[in-house]
Amino acid sequence: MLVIKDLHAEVEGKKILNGIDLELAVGQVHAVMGPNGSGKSTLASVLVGRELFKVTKGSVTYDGHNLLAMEPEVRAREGVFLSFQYPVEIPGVSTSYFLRSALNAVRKQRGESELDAMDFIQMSKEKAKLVELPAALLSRSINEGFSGGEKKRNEIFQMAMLEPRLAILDETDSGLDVDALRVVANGVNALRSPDRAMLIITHYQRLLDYIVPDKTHVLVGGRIVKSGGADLAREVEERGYRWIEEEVGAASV
Amino acid sequence: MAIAGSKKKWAPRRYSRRIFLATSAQAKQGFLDAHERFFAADPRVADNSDVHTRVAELRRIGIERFGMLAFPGPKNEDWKYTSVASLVAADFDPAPAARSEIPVDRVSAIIDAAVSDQSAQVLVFVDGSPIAELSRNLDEVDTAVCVMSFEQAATENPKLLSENLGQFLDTNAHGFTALNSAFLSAGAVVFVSAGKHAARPVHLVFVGGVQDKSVSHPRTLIIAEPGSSATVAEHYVGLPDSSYLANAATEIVLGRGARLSHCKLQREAAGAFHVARIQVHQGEGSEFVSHAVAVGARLSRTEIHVALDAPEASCSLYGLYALEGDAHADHHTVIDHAQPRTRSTELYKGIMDGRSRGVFTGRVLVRPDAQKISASQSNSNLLLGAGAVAETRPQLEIYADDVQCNHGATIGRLDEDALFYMRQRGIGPGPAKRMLTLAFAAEVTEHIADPHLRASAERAVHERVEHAVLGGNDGADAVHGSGGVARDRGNGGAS
Ligand SMILES: Nc1ncnc2c1ncn2[C@@H]1O[C@H](COP(=O)(O)OP(=O)(O)OP(=O)(O)O)[C@@H](O)[C@H]1O
Ligand SMILES: [Mg+2]
Repeated sequence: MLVIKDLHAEVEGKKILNGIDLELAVGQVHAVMGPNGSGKSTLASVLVGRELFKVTKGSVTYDGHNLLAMEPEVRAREGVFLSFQYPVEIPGVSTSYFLRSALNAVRKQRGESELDAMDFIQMSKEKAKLVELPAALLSRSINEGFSGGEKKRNEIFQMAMLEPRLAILDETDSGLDVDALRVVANGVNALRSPDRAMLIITHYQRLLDYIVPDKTHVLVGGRIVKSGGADLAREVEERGYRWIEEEVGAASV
Repeated sequence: MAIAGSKKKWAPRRYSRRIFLATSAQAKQGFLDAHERFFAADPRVADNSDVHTRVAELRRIGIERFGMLAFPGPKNEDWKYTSVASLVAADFDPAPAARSEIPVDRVSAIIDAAVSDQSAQVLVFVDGSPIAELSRNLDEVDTAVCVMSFEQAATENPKLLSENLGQFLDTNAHGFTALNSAFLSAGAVVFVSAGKHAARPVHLVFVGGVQDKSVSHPRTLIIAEPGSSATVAEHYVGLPDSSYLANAATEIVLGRGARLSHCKLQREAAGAFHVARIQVHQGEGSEFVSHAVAVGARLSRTEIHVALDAPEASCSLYGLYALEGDAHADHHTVIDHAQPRTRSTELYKGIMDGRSRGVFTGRVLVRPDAQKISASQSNSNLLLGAGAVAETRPQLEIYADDVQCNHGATIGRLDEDALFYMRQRGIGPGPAKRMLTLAFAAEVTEHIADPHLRASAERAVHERVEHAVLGGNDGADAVHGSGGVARDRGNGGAS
């Protein structure tokens, strides 16, 4: 479904991604780990088309199409979803109004009819339950004054509403308390499906205890330096990144 | 503070100043001549002699002052950012417009669009003259509020006019206000009886441009007697493709404990010129709320002067200007804290697309004995177009020591992170910009208490924003296309 080949990207003239190769098949869940600043969020940003990040080399195909040639909103309508590491606050735009516009844009692309206000409310009530998001938050401005945990739950709630085909979760587990982590993980698991692929960026094994990945990749210095199964995540948790960096260092000598 | 979207800054050049002075002098002479011609015949506002004496006196003072002041030039500090060069060169017919054939259907449609509430009291003026046939529900007996043209007031309550008209308006300010008095002939009076509460807003609609190149001088007197409360709206509209000048003046007097909500909706034709001065005099413990919305005219200037001239008086001034193309809107507010324990809050916002220019000046004067006052002021501007400009000038003059004052001004562009967040969810850049822009505007319009008025203000702004953001002019791409914008927001934590 997603094929990333030799992807290089830079921001403001600074090279961040230095040749990423990654294949994600439909139905699969891959974890991406890596030290701070290694380029995980940059990879996510490139995949969703943030202009700030310039692709200098390589290709990304999504269902056989050139993903990099699509506008960000087109990618979204085609089913690419990013749960942001830092969801932005948008004063004055209510979550439900915004999400209904988003959902209808996505549905239009899928050839489905627009959802009227009643159906939308019904659906959002159901999905909000999934991540135990208080319904009152939906009438508030997007993320404005939301707690860190509420923002993350709001991201997964939106994902549940939009039903993407490719979901990229950037540190959705960061800043969550133990209960919230379980709630969010259950929410994500409920969305795991044979028709959907997920790329889960995380620093912690905790989340992967709930959502067991098919594969784990370790990103260091803008490159995937090691890939493995679910065990690799556990190993990283126990031993950190130093040994991998050393291993890679040794191999490249 | 000024930030221009483009490098090119407007600067009056020497030769253009000379041209301005010549054109301005010529336009001035035109008005002086017209005044002499027209008022030599001494057309009366009414047969009531007290009223007539008062009006004649105001006209005389007005034309004298205008003769001295003329049109404000580039050296006038208060008009530093607003050039009236295009206005004086516009070749208007300075004589009061003769009553002409009114295209009733077109004008009615404009009035209906302005005032959707069919049961509201509406007094309509066309090119300066009151038109009974287009006005609505004025004969309805309302014990709280009375709406009249000057003509009616002169017969029904002559003292009201002769004692209050021109009482507080400062004709020394500049030529335009003087000119309004000089050509004083028709106008509106709104009178709210002591202790009475008008349940619904009263609407005054001023339609301009039925005669192309015409000039009108709308004049309004609003008196809220002690303990009364009311809402008054002034709508300025015009025939779409005409060019005209509306030079308005409004005097507002609030008695002790009175509450008045005043809403000025400026939706003039795109080629029109609009100048308005609102002068407010407040009694003890009175409360004045002003809304000034400007979306029309090629050049507009709105001045609001509030005198908090008794203890405990308070005012809230809200303003919103949404401009596109080459439009220029200037809002100039002055709040005079002349007495102790007076309060003021001010919130003005501007949305500028294309090469439009929005100017805000907020002068707050706290006099030496005005202790324990509070004043807060905020002006934020959103630049949509690459060539759009915002000028913001807070002017705080504080001569008392026990005061609470704060002010803030911002000029920025749409939040790139927010835009991207919305696009990532499938919303196109146009609709995303519209949502963000309207949210920015709503923070002002949401303060309009009357739902009908709020809706028409919102509609006016929506139409303008819709046109600006989705209209496909240069403003639409400027927001996310230009590199400078990304740099502005680059430190905003893009992830
Ligand atoms: N807008 C930007 N401008 C300049 N540098 C940036 C920008 N965004 C990211 N970077 C830099 O790119 C590098 C990779 O950042 P990125 O956010 O991708 O790391 P990450 O792996 O997600 O880290 P973390 O685990 O801390 O979230 C960092 O050195 C960062 O400072
Ligand atoms: Mg990151």
